[in-house]
Amino acid sequence: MSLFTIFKISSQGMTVQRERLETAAANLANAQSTRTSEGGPYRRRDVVLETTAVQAENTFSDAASTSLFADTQSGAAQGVRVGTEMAPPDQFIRRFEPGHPDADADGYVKLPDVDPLEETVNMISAARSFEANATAFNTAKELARATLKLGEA
Amino acid sequence: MEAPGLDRITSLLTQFLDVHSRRAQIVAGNLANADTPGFQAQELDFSAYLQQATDEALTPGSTGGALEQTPQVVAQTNRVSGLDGNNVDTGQEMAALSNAGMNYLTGTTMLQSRIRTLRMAIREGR
Repeated sequence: MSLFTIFKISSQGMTVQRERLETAAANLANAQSTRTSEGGPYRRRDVVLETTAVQAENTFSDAASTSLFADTQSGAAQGVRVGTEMAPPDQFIRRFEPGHPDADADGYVKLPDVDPLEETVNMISAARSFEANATAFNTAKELARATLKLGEA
Repeated sequence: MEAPGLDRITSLLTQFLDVHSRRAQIVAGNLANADTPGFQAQELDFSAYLQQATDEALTPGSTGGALEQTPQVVAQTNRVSGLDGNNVDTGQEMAALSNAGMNYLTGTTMLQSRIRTLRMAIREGR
């Protein structure tokens, strides 16, 4: 049934947006980090979103092949998944700060290539998209509840 | 494509619910992919059905009926894509979600009254 697929799609959407928010927070928090466990300054994280097919559950009406959308060709729903990519290890901002403990021989410090403005915009966009997915989830919940009430008529 | 064992009204209402839950599902997919680069928003294509309905409306004595063809899911082409090739319009999708939701609730309400009628007949009007 399509309604239960909505729960799956919208929760995937919310996971993806939470991941974007987490990444933006991590980038902002580490905008000045010059040391990491793998050596060198912090490398900026970027999220990559990708559309995936959500497999619809086999339903009773599919089995009876009376459902309008029994054919799987048009039945594949669009979900989403997220991957994280790190900025290339040679992508840094060099700033002249001779007094800094991590400055090189010429007095330059390598800082992560994080643009606070960009991260803030990402954060706002992720929060708004999260809300949109949550609304879709809630709508599906209301519709499912209305369907359940059919039995009480 | 009417379901066996159901009367005509119930069968049509079932189809109505099928269509609108599917529409809500497509909207959910569009919203989930609102930030995916290159994603083209989707919708149900009713053009084939519109043709059928128009033909039936022009046939004397016809009352219209069930969908003969499954509406196909197609990419929305009338939207402008952004720089990343994504053409999901969040405002339009939220409107489509409300629309599908209200239609679905209308369907369940009508189905409910149908069930109530049947139950009343079974109980001999009591």
